[in-house]
Amino acid sequence: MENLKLSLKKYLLEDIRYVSYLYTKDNYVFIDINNKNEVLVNIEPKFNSQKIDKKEFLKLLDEETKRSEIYKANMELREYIIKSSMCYKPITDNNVEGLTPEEEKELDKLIAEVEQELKSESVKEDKLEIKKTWEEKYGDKNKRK
Amino acid sequence: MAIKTKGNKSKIKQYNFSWRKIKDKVLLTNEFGHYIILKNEEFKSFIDGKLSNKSKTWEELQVRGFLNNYMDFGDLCQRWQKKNSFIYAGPGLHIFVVTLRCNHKCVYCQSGAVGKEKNNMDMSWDMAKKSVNMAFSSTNKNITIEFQGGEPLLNWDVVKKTIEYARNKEKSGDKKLFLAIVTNFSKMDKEKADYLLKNEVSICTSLDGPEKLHNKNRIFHEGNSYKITKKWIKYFKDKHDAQKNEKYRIFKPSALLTVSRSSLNSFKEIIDEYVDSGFESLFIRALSPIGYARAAWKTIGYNSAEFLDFYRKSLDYIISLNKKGVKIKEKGAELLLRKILKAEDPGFLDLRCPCGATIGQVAYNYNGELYTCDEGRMVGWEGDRFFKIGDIEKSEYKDIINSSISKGCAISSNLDNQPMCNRCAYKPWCGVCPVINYELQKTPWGNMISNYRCELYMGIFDYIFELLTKEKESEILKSWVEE
Repeated sequence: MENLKLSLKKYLLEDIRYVSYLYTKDNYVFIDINNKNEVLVNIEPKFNSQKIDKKEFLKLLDEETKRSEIYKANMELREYIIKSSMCYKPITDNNVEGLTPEEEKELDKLIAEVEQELKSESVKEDKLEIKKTWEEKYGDKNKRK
Repeated sequence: MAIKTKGNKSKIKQYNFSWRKIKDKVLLTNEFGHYIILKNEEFKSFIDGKLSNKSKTWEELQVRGFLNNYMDFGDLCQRWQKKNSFIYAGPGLHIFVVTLRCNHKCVYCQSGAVGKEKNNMDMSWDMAKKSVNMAFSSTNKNITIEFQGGEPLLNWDVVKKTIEYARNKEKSGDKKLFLAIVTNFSKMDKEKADYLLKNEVSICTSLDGPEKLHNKNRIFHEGNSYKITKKWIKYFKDKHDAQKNEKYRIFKPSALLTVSRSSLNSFKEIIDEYVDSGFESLFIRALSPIGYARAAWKTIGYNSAEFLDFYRKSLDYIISLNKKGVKIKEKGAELLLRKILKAEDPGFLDLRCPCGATIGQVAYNYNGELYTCDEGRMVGWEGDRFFKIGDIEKSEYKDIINSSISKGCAISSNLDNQPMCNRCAYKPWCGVCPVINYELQKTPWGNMISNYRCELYMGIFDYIFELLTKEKESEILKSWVEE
């Protein structure tokens, strides 16, 4: 039989409970409140030959403390990710929101009108022909050759 | 979160992860199904928040979602969804126990089969028709109807009518139908075989190893079970290999291996038997202590350590055959590797979270009773109808889905609710079985600290990850899922 005094200032009761649970296959484990800041963990082997390693218990408790710290710090993020994952809709060709052929025609027409307007308005002021495309300035590639 | 290390605050913020020692290394996993194997010192640096953000390990941890301020939400959400895609589907596997009669008396029989002379143990055509209608009311777009027993060929007329009815129903609806039959071949003849082939029914049988072992496990008084099995495996395999321009697809036959105590010393002979029969895979499954198997456990059963020893030796032998160029793989390992390496759901209902009970499969008993799964049906046959979810005469689809036991199974097999599982490094790919828990530990929740099935899977995962740390073995295992 082994007794461990564990400070509640250092460890959370829920972490002590979890590590104690890991010992229940081969042992009976009793957890008692010793005082306000301390619990007493009593581990009694189910079989006489069983040995209990206190250091191993404390090592597992340290690991569990780290694990639960990480878990708690990520709780909100985790909930967000799971919710997002559950309703996640990957972008595929089928669900890309596109324009209908009519809307595309209308849009091309509008773009052409705006381009024409811009050209006629600004052509006089563009002495360096900055707004002209390469092809407008020099002709297309094949012709130049 | 920032882990405090002797008063210094680290800049590394770890996202939830679990870890487990694998030999001299540490395996880290997260709920997206990503994993990384670190050396001890790397792990210590990571957990202490001291790992350099210029290291390759840091980069890998970042890509795999282990650092909470460097997460690619789109990629991780997509991976999570792919891994859990079954949640959205509904029951796809529909097991029709068309008869409980069987002419074999297998030592490990879990299905509660009775002698072939027994009366009132066959599913009627009316009940089978209603069962097909129920299967087609599933929300799943892919429906598999699997004929089981007993020996399903003992109720051939109903099997045949059901196939015709289901195929017609498929034509008039928007669901894809797959058909399968699990048979011992003892009642197979050319007419039945050709009918099954023409209707694209997958053939599955049992092959427990060499003749002596197979016949010891699968007792058949009317002939030599091994010889009959081998004959028909060859027939269906030859048909598969010779197919050219048939109007229908011919699937390769498959076989299931059940490992009993008698198998434990014969791993080489069993695997050689499968290779010799032309199979490219075998599924090494441990015996479940359900049905007759539970009563005979002392004679035919084993503990988890004994099975794992057998499993490891078998896997080593299979890998050694692969090294020599023999094409053979272990199906169980392949399923796990698909989950681990590809984040896929390979459709293995036993290892899901929540488990496949009702939400993945439904078992239709010969008498119209509906169960969460075939294992639940076997418990029902023993007189305990705990896993019964309805009756084909009275229940509708929504009733079985909404039944309290369907919900109970989903909750109890949710690994987030299991004290040991929710911290386990294998959680992203594992699953618990409420039926086996109930049978062994008298509660669907089970108690994982002393759970036979948990010990089995823990050992299998351990060995697979151990092999993944070895270069040549890892290469072979990865090739199993690349085809």
